[in-house]
Amino acid sequence: MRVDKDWEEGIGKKLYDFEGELSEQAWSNINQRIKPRRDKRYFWLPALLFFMTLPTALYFTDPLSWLKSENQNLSQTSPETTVVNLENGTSKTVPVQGEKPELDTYQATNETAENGMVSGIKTHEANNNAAVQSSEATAKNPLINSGNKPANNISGPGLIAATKPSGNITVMEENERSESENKAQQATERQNISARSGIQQAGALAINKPEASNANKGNRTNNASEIRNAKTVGFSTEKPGTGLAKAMLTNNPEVKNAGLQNAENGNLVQSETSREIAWLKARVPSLAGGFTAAEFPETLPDSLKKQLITALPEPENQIAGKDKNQEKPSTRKWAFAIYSAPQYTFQRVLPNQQDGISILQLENKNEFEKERLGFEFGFRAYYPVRKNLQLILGFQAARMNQYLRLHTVNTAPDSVVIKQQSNSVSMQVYNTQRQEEHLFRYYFGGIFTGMKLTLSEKLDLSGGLGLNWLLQNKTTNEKTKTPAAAFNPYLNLGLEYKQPLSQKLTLTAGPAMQYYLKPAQEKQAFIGVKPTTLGFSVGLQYKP
Amino acid sequence: MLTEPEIIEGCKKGNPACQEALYRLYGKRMKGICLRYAQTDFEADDIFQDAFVSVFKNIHTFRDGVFSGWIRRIFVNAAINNYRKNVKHYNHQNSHDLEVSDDGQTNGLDELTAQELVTLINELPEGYKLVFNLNVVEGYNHAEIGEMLGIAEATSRSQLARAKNMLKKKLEKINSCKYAS
Repeated sequence: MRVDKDWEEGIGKKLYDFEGELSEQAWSNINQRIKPRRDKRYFWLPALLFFMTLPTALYFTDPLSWLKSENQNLSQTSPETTVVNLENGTSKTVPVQGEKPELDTYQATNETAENGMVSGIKTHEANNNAAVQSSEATAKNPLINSGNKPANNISGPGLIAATKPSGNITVMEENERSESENKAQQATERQNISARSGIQQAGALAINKPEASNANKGNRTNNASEIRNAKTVGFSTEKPGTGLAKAMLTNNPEVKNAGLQNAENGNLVQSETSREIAWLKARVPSLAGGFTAAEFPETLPDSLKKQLITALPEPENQIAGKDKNQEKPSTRKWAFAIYSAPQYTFQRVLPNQQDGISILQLENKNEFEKERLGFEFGFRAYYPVRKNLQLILGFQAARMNQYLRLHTVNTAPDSVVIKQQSNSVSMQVYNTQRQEEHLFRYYFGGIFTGMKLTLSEKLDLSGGLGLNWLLQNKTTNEKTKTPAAAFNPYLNLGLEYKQPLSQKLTLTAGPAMQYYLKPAQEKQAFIGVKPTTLGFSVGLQYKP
Repeated sequence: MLTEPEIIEGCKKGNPACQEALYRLYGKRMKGICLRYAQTDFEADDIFQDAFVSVFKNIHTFRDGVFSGWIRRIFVNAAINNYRKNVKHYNHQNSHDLEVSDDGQTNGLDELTAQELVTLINELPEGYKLVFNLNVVEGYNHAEIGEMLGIAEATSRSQLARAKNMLKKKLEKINSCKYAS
């Protein structure tokens, strides 16, 4: 037993420090595997962050800036928002087209009148601090203001009472139409007299000038009773001499001539209602959508309802159709987008059947690895070909990673050892087995064409065909570099969620899949890996 | 000239020069381990490279103790892992062909070089060779070997006994050849 122990120790000592020969090749391979991946650059990361943060920043930093600029534009052509109030509280808010007011600051107020009317009035605050002739007061009792008749304003037994300031329109009920018409005749008689002080015609139109109101100045050209009797449709204008009066009398020939055919008693008497409706239509395009009878208060006289309905006959859908037709040329515009997407590569391994190497085990077949994360960024242009269909053209740059860890064996025997002993012969066959690790890194540039289908207001489905050119091919181990295919066609399918940031900018985000039609390696390579990538695309779309 | 602790510290920081120095310092001995456990030189190269990569990737976990023992353990583990992976591909001989009697002879050991001895050991069946190396050379007991290889302690004992018998037989044969010449 002791002898056996010594024998073991003798062998142990001999073999414990047994040394083998080192090869430079071994160190080179080890060095390749342990050195930090110098080609692992993250230059794409800032680009990705940029594309992701820019829209967010635009969206959250000053969301009103777009509105402000739009308002400024709007104020040049449509200075104010007019609230048309119908008795019994019915109201409509419509934009008003007209001249740009000289004054800059607007404040919108909604006041409830004592008589139950809701008077939505936009107060036009004057620069000269001749501030607000309270439209509230007008709403409460328009008759009070009628006494403060401005020089240039018009009033008469009609439908319209205008209260200064602002271009707001207050539509009020007419109860005693016939009486108003009588008053209108009287006012017409006075028209010549009061022309100098700004009265152009009879009507229940009162435009109250704040200065006049405040100072109780101005020529009274209106009979208070006329106004009182005129259960009016009221207008207010931004300043005397502009707005309604001007529009009615000078600016718009359609308005000027409106209702002339409604001659009664043989004379060409212009109906106030017709003029007012024409004026409304001219200045308030959205009113062209018309009213239905149900929209009017029950207390509104049928005659007025009928006139309004016939004067504004176009139903909304027709208007919408018109708008669409008008907008059609504008939708037929190119839209452009830039996007960026991290992409994860799934891989299907197709071994070369003729190279005498078999894959014993694919070790990372079902693993998720950061090595397989790539990216793509690019440019897309969209052109609408049909209502919900857009043609996509674009180009892109991408990096696709493929990572393999596998165990291979030579199918042909590497060596055979035949052992002959006294009573037996044995044979051992050795096949060379190798543990291999490959990280293929492909840099592509490519083009893309496809179609985008609008599924809903916020959701698009896109698909198409792309073709990538290989720009650069890198592997971790240059000695095992495999020949890569120069062209890689792929099919693309993606969903896009759209979040409008402004009228022209839209943030898009959604998943996208790319199915490559052939392996990234050439046929003669020891292995072929057919990739399928799944990514999440974030982009910014601009539509002029 | 860097000392071993400096080399280790350098390797922890990923210094390429220190990594190469460590390779030069321990490479030959570690290659020897791989040659003892592997079936072929190719296989030994694979084990060697994998183990060294593992050493460099895990060297930051080395705190105290003898570095040579730590690195040796990594190489032995790499060899065992390699055996586990390839065990189904090895051609096993029937054990009855290998039955030899334990006659306690120890002749001829001193005359053999380590290289010759390794060649003889490599001729042992894989399982025997592995247990023999782990027990006789590395000094693991049968319980540890059983745990490492996933076999019973008794199996380890019997495999060691057979390995020793086979090796002694081979030594006998070599000695008889030498004396004959």
